[in-house]
Amino acid sequence: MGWTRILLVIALTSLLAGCLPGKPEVVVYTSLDEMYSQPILDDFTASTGILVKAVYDTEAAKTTGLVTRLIEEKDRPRADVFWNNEVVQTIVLKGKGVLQAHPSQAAKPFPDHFKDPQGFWTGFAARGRVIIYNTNLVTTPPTSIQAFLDPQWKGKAAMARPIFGTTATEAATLFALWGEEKARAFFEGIKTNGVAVLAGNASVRDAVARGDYAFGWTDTDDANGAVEDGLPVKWLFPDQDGIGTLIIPNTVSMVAGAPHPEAGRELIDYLLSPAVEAKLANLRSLQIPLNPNVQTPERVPKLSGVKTIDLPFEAAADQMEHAMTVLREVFSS
Amino acid sequence: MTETRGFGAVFFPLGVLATFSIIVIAPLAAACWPEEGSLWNALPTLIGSGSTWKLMGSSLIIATGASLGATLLGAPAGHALRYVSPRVRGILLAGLFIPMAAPAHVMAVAWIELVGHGGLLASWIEIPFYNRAGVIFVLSCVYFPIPLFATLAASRRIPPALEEAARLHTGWIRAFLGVTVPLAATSTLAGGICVLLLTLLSFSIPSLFQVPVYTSEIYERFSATHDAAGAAAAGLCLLAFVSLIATIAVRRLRRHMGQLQHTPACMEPRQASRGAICLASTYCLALWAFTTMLPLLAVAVRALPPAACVAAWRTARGEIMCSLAVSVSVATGGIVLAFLLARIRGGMLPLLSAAAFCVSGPVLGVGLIRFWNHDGLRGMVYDGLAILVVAGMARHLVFPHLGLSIASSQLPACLEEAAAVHGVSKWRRTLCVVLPLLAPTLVLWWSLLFMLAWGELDASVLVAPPGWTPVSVRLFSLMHYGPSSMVAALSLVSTLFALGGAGGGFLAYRLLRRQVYG
Repeated sequence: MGWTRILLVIALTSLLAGCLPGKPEVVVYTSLDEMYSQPILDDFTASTGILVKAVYDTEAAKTTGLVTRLIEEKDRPRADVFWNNEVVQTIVLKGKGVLQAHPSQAAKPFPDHFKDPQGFWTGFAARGRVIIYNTNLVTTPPTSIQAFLDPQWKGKAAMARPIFGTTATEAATLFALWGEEKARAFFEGIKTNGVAVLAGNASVRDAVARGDYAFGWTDTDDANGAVEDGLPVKWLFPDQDGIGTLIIPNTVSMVAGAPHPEAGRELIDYLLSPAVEAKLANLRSLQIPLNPNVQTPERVPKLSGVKTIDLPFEAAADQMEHAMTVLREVFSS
Repeated sequence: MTETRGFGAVFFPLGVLATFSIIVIAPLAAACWPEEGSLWNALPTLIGSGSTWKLMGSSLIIATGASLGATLLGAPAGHALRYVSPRVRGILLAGLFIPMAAPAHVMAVAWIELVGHGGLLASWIEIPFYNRAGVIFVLSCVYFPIPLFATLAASRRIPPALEEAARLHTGWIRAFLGVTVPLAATSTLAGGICVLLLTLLSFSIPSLFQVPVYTSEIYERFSATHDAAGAAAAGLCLLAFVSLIATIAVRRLRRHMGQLQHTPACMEPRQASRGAICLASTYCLALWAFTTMLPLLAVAVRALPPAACVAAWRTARGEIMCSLAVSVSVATGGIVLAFLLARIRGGMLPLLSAAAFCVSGPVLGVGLIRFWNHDGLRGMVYDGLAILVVAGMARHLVFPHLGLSIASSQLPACLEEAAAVHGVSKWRRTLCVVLPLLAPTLVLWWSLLFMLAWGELDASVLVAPPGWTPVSVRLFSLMHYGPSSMVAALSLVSTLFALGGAGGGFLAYRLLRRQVYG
């Protein structure tokens, strides 16, 4: 058989294979750490037979995030569902017309504060922004984020770079809550007080656990991981007598023009099911269930017992881009 | 010599140019194409901003430091290798090339595991990596092979008679310092400038060590404020700056390059004294142990027990296979395109290839999305693994393009002319005369391109299709939240694959070279 014939056979076989009806699939872009999200997506495939193709974020490495990618792909989206590990960037995407409404029945039990009134996104399985401290170095732990400005702690505290991830969400929230002048002064004060700015929340946890810093600002999932590993750390919700703690939910949303809308809707409904929230609560990530019908495990703090920052997420989203521009300037050197 | 230009002679270059345009020029143009003038609006703001210059200054300090460090480490080794026997030289060269063959972020992890906080030797010596000095140190240890190879290549062109004449009048050391070093200095300097340019463009190591540099400005514009136009403007500024340095360097160095240009490439010096050979070998071995073996050993120790490596393989098997398929395709496609481009000899084309590399990964990534993410044939490419191949080719084509252009121009023209006189078409001359002569060089560049594609992260992360993750992206993710033993194990597995590709290519090069040139 000549080369031409062999190539012709290969081309025809490929063409036929391409025309055969494939397994149903859904494409999800997710910024939740792969170690937590992948088992849940695998369970979805096992229960529905729908193949999940996931793209994970590498936010800590400051590579361009999934949000930028979704914006750039807006005219011909490849993703069906965006599972974000925070909320403000999701609202930014809504503002840019990247998302479409999907008023899911599964979203009904969730509190109004944690979902979009038009159904563009729904929040579930939340984390708190907490203070983690080293029990060998701290006897009376700081109970407010104002401690980062306290000269007593000069050079002894750490936080993640506030232009990425949940630290950026918290920064935008503070800009919305306090106004630009006060928020800018706060972050400039942080810089002046020698607070170490590390790669991400996991780096903050590790540095505090090692004793490089007395305390740091991180998320509940990272802090709990260190506690479960038996490291000399504890954590607390800050500002329970003041502004409160920022609680940040995961959000799930439907991408406008999703190539597999039916499978996308099915995945969203699955992610909002009580089983998924319960599973996320039982993992090391210790995510707080927002659906009141989900039994919260003993070790997971109850939302009702925490004073939270009283501010709609949309207000933080409005401040996001401006806050990031200011903070890039503050932390550029 | 005149030649009738047939159908193929006209359409063949057009086809090559069209392929080059689709892979390199179109994404570059798409990234920089102004959206309602936003790019041009962003440029003045960027140039007027104090932080831009501060970050550029920081990048320049790091690049200068790394260039000096790499030259100080590499140049003496380049000279030393000239005096050891050819067999030992081959082995040492292969060993000293490892830091460049391994992905840069893997070497950074290796150094942290060795002398960083909590590292293997931290109780004896601990280096605070999270500052400019740390970045300079690691970059120097990664890039020193460039000045090494440049120095070795130049020193092997120095006629031994010149050195011997000098030795008749003065001692061995004075002859070495007064004749050998100055004659090879231009080439050493060129190697140092290559390091300067590469480190100006580097992102992963400064980013891992939390040191703000200009490339981080580009990344942050994308990921923090989703300002694609601003990032493209910042990328263009970087491109302009790098081009300026490269132009000045080429102009200055060209004046001095002529000294050794017309001497044969491989001139062995007269047998050096036993002491000199011993000193040369010891320095090279010490350099190899310090920059390569110790850090990789630290990674291996961290990856223990061996089950961790097996677990890493099992966890990332899909990603490794994906990277393997992509790297082989990038290397093969890139070499074919670079070879054909070298045959066309378009004066501006290498500059455009260089622009795609210098403009930074995310800017190119956005360009790739904008150009390829459309319905039809382009969409089919974008939705599959092919987009990673296109991304890798677009980003790294400059290296084989420049290398093969130079190699092609150095082939004896008489052979092709003789074939042409006998009426052999250009296509057949390329296949039957040029290709066999360039085969060893092609294989060498194939292995280098494979290595670069294996470590590619910046553009791939933006276009990786759903369900396919290259191992470099997976490793970068794991560095954030994964256990350090898993990161170390995967780093080791990844390095072994990169070295396997590079090593296989190098062996094939040696074999082919022996066959072609005897």
